[in-house]
Amino acid sequence: MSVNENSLKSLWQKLPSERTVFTNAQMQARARKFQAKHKRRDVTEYAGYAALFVLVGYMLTVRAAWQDWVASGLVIVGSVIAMWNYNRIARAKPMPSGTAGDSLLGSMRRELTRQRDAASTAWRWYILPLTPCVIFIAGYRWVEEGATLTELTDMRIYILMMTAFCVTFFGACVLWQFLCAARYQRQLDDLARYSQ
Amino acid sequence: MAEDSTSQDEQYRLAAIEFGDAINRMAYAYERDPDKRKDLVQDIHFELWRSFKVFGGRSSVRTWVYRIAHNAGASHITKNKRISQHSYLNLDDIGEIPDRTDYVDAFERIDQIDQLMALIQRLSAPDRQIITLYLEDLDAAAIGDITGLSSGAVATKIHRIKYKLSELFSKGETYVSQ
Repeated sequence: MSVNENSLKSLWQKLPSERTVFTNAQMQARARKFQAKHKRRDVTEYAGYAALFVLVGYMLTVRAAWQDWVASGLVIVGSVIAMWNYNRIARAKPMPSGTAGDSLLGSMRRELTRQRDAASTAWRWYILPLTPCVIFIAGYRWVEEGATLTELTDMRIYILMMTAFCVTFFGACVLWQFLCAARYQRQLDDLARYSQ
Repeated sequence: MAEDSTSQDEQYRLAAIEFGDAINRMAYAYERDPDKRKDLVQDIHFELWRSFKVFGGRSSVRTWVYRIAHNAGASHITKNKRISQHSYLNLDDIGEIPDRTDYVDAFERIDQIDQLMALIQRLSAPDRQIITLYLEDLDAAAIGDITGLSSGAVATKIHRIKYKLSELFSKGETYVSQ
């Protein structure tokens, strides 16, 4: 049998529905809740920074050579830059009210493009700021181990292992981000095909 | 400033009165759970209220309301991700949905609206938007305006929707009495 589209539409339009109009006070309360949620997220983030600074400060009281100060400085600067970039580029944000009335396809396209660009450049804005610290620590620990730079002491084997771990970890992160970027691109392609 | 706020509140109030039922129906398409659906309706109303601050008559109120509602619905499914992204289907893949007879076997009897919901809730967000707007009785031009698709593309998709609905409801029992 063929579908009677009018009946189907009528079925849809008769779905149980409760007329809802929120009062201004309810909307204001909802807006305050919305802002409080974002404020809580910011506070959690700042607490994370504070914990990092406390940890680095503690390390400095244990070893306070100039190299430790430089390494600590690089850790702090690298983390702050990475987090700042993350907030600027990649963090999920509530839809800006100026774009709220965009078409769904437009909104999806914009969000996927933003995520794709963030993922494909993550190595630059998230990983790169952290690498000077790793290179500096590995380098000065290596030099500190003795006059002969080629001698493979236990500490140098440990440094090599740690460096290999960091390279593998950062490499895996970069690879993962590239895979995510490729996935977002595929979704964008699907969307483009859908729009045709 | 106070005038803007009054205008925003008043625009929201009028839109909520006129399109409240349509918003509720759209929420059905995006959320099966009644409690979560209530939250979604509230989210849509909040987004709508918020959006009237910048509305400025840049489209018809109807287009604006439907866009806001569907954007909120799409955000809702992205946030919840109860079903993975990959399990949403395009209209072309609807044939993979279990037969009506399977449903009957599994749940004894599911009425037509449940079937329709089962179909809608498995669609990708853009297809979901088109099917609900079609069921709201909007014409292809209006749907194109809301979705950002050309009228031709909308007409093609509506044709496919009708075909798929026909296929779905012709499997098994008759579906709706006139």
